Amino acid sequence: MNFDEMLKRRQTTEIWQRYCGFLDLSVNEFMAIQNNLLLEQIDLYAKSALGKKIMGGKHPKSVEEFRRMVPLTDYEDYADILLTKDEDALPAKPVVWIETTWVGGKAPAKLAPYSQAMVKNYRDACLACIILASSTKKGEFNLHPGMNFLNGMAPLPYLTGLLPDVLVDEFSVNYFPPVKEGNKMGFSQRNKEGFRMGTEQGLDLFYGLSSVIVRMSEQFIEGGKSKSNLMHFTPKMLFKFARAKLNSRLRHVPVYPKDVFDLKGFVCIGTDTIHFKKKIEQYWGIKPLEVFGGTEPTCIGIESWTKEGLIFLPNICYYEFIPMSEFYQNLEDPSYQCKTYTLDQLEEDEYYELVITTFKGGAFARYRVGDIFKCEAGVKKSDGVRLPHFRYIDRIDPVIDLAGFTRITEETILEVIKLSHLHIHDWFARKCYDLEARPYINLCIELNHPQNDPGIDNAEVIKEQLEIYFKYIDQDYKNLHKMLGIEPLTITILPYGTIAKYQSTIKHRIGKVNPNHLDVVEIMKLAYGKGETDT
Amino acid sequence: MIEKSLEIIYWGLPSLSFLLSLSILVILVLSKKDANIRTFMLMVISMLIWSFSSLMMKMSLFPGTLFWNRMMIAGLMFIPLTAYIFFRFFIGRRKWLPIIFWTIITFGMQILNAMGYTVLAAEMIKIPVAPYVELQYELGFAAYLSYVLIFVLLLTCLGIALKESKRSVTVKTGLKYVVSSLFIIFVGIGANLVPVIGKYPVDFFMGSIAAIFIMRALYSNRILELRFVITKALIFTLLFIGITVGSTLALNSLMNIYTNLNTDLNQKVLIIMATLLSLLIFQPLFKFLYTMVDRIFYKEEKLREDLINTFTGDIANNLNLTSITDGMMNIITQITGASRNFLFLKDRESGKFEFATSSVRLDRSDFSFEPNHAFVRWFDQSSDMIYGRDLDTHPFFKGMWDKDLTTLNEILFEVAVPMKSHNELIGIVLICHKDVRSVREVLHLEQVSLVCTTASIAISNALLYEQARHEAITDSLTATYNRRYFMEKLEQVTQSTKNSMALVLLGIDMFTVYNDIYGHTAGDTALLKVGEKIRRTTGESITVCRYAGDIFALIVPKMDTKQVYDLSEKIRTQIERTSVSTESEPDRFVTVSCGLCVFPTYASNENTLLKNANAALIEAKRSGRNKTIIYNNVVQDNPHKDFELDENQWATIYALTATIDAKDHVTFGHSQRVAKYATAIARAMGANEADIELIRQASLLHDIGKIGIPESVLTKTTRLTQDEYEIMKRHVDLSVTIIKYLPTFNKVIPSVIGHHERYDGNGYPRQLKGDNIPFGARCIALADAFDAITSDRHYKMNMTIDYALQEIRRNSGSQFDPKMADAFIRLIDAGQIIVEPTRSFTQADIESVNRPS
Repeated sequence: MNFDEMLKRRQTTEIWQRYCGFLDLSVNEFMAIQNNLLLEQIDLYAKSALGKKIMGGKHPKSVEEFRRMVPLTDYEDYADILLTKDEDALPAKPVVWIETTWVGGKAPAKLAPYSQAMVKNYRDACLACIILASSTKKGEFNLHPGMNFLNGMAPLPYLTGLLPDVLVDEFSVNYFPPVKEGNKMGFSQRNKEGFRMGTEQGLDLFYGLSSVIVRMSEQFIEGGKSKSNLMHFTPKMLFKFARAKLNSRLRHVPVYPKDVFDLKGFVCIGTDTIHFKKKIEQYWGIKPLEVFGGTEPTCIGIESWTKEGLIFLPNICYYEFIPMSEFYQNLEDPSYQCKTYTLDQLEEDEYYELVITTFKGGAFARYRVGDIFKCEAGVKKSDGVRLPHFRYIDRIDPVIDLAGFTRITEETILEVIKLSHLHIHDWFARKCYDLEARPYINLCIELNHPQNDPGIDNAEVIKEQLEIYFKYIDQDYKNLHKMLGIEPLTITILPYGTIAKYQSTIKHRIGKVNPNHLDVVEIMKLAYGKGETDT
Repeated sequence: MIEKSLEIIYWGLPSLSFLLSLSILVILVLSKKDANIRTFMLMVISMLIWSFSSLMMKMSLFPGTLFWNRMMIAGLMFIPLTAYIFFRFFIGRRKWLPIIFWTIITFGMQILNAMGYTVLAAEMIKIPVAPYVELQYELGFAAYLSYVLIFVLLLTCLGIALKESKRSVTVKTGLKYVVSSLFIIFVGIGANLVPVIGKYPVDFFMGSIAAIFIMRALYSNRILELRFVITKALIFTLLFIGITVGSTLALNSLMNIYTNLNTDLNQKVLIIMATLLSLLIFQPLFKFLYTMVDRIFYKEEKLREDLINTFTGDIANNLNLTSITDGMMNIITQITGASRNFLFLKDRESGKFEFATSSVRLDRSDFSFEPNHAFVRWFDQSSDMIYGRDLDTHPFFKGMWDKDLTTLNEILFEVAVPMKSHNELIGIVLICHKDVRSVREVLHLEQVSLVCTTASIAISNALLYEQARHEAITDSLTATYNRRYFMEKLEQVTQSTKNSMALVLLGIDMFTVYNDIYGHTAGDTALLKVGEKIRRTTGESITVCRYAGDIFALIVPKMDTKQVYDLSEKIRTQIERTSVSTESEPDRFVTVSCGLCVFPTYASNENTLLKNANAALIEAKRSGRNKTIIYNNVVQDNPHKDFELDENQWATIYALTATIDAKDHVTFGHSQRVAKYATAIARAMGANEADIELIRQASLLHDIGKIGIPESVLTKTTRLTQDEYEIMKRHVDLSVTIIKYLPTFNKVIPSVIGHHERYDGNGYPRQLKGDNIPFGARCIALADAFDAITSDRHYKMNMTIDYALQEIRRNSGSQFDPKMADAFIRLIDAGQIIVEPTRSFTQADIESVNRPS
């Protein structure tokens, strides 16, 4: 019986149990599932060429042996097999290959194979997201077949594009825009078209990038031009719009999306979701559900009905966590093997880098995804879930992820500086947030003009020049302003030699991207005699 | 006739409605209640108030018609409200706000009713025709208002029902009955608005029909299990009501007859007689009805109960595991209606649940449940059955392996039932569908569970019995049969066999030496591995026993001499190639010698057979070991003294000692002197000649490993560094390695390997302590130390004998065996050992000795 059938039969208890039952697990039960599935994966992995390569030809007999024998990995370790789509070398035959950009990698994109069982688990996770998004109380949710669904995410071969395919036989929804047409559109156009259709026919579910949702909401509130045709409006939506407009006129307040749309569920993803959630709730009148996923791990973290922290799914990946102390030790000495902890060993309020081993014939073993989480609480009082709740913090330090839109690395910035021909002697970059909690890059530079060339030393001009090349190198960079209204770059000019002087004091080099906060404070003090400075 | 009918309807319908409502209420009270049943009970109670008040009113009982009429209206008004609440619960749309709203409205109507705005007047008027009394009433404005509100309520219900049908393709079964019942109630109540119709009990008729419709809806949704409600209590209640009503009517008729006849019979006597009569017929009637219900409703259940009772009786004193498990499979198949079942029993050693039996012969048996399997973990903490749907829906089973899920899908798994004895899971029963066409709900699982519980105890007992029997005839170390079983079996086979059979004795070569070198724990492991290898090589038809410490016996039926010899050689070569150490240790190997004798060719009875096989085994060992010898007339008991060396073997020893002497000429003669002192000590300690001879050989060879020590270390004139000392210590292992290649001298290994052990356990290489150090090694250790002190070394000059004895005394009990130390000092003091003067030898001295004469 599929999801639609179960909905029609009002089997709410069964639906909840099947898709959201993991929220009732204790930590011990969660770990039992994890350990059992890891043993299955080890068994599959050891028989494959990829597994032999990653595990050094060993066949661990227990979870402990596996964690002891297999080193931590990154995509470089898999590239030769996965980029050539060598299916014979994999632990299970893939049914689909998912793609994502590989920032700073040796190829433009990373590929990840998905086995049949992984796709099934991904489908169940998606349905769990939709159920929980429409839920405000344990065991209760508000879904029915034929709902209007604005899918604002990227199409295949990206992971988000797999959603319509996995739901097709389970949950019948009207996609805005329809999947076929949407796949032909660009990201911006797809969102606009989807929103237009939603405006005309009503919206029940919304799945999108939180930063984009906020921008679209703001444009709606500002009363931006819409291509909607009144003739296409359903009477219900027409009535709602008329009511909202009247109310707006009478009370001299803007029309919020919540005045028009009666949204049942809101699913949002993206690096800076935590900063956008409140706004989304304010605009739409519904708490958005944050999920965490990625090409390599698939969808692994979902919030409960209270929407107060991510909870990991037990049957998608085996989770290990690197504490920050170990992470920094490894950053200084790349040969250092970080010690990892399992979900039942975590400390509250600590930050961890996530390490995953995919289940069900997945390709990745002890893989550093590159994301940092904060372990918030063992038991959240509001939902009673006994599993740790997590807050997604950011990508690992060497990467600046802007609103889930683009990822800037040291290599990107070096390339930009090189192309710009600016006389930048030294630099570091860090991720900051503006007053409206929108993320941007603060690039701190030292200039070193040759004696016969006065050069440019105006921060605004330098910024404009660098942005030309940022837009040239990173296609998504230019959408940041256009789609999200974000000013993605600010420049801080440091006196020549500040960074070197500081480094000679502390006797080691600071990171180029997102250096330690204390280092930044000290450098600013050294440069301007205070902790922070205006650009 | 019409008049009579009218009278019956007039009185009968409210009575019937009252009885029906009462019966339904009794059924509901007795049944398992949920929210649906509870809300329906509210509705039935409203109907009871209605019909009861109506009866009271018609009989014009106190306090009067108007009062009962208003009571009747009160009950009537509650019916739509309770029906509405029931409807909302039934369709799963429990919205409290509208429920509260309608409750307030209804109570408002009730207040108006109580204040007299609904019924202005009501009176029972006597009329000349049947039904002879008639209700006449006048309605107030509240009556019409109430009806309008009831109409709105009905419309609301209809709206919800329509919405429900639209949203859901498969409307909950029975929804149409509930909606119909609401309509019927509405029409019934509406009839009261028209006094011409309302004077007849149309409302009661409609109300009763509506109640039956709702009962039908509940039953069709399995909310109400009527079969389980038809119980003794219900029969008793209904019978009681029936007899009471029947008796009353009968008594009434009788009274009328007697009144008409004008007899003198006392009415009280009549009542007593009627009551006694009722009581008399009650008991047989009750029994009859109860039997009838049993036959109609519980026929199959009774049959199943009989089956279970028979099975329980059968297994009560049964210790045969197969018989119990077969019986259990059979009865489960019958109870569940031809399902396909599997039984898995726990293997105590591995903790795995292995396939034991299945209800279908030759069914697949290629799967088992590991101790960490989700089913096992579930049953360890719960006794609840696992249903097929749980694998999809319950998060506990998300950790299951795909291959396990595939297997369960393939066998069309439906339910897993635990078998527990003393709270420990001993087995798992899988109930599966026979084929895809038979996939439906598995019935009577409670009885299956009962069977499993009963069988668990019997199976547990049978397993314990099997285990006890097995332990009594099994050698606990090697898991082969023990000597007692061997003797019984040998006697049994030799007496019963008409064919040729053979006895093979396999003895592990130099097992004492192995034990001395590696310790008894390693020796036990070796025995275990050898036993395991033999069992695996022989198969089921051959009986393998541990006959003595290091000797295994094989009783081989129906094989000729050639076949037995081949088998014996196969085992021997396999053991030779198998490491007998544990996985964590370096590989170690042993060999076996085999002696075999064939019955009846070379033995007439079991005793001769055993004696001759033993003779063959001794011959195999004596003639070089690691071989198979067949007993024949040539093989006889050989009184060979295997500790005496021949001339060639002595030459080997001297050649080896000369080698080390050549390398380290300062210690030339050390081995000979140690041999002299050590044998003297051994003799003084009461050792026999064989042991003394072995100690002599060991003494001569004890430092042979120094061949492998670099000369820079061996001849160093200053104190050795820690690293050099570690290198020097290796000479003990090297000595053993060299000697191992000389099978003739293997017996000296324990003495050689232990000659640097200290009595207090601080020596090397194995830190043996006290008497755990082999006797020969203790003799050599003492002699070695004495000679080291009294002779020249690269790093020191020789010391006096007194000094040496003083050192021995000082270290007695710590370095040396105190008894040996005392004995040695006494020997020196008594002059029984002449200590030779030592000096540094020149190269010429060495060459003169090593030169062949």
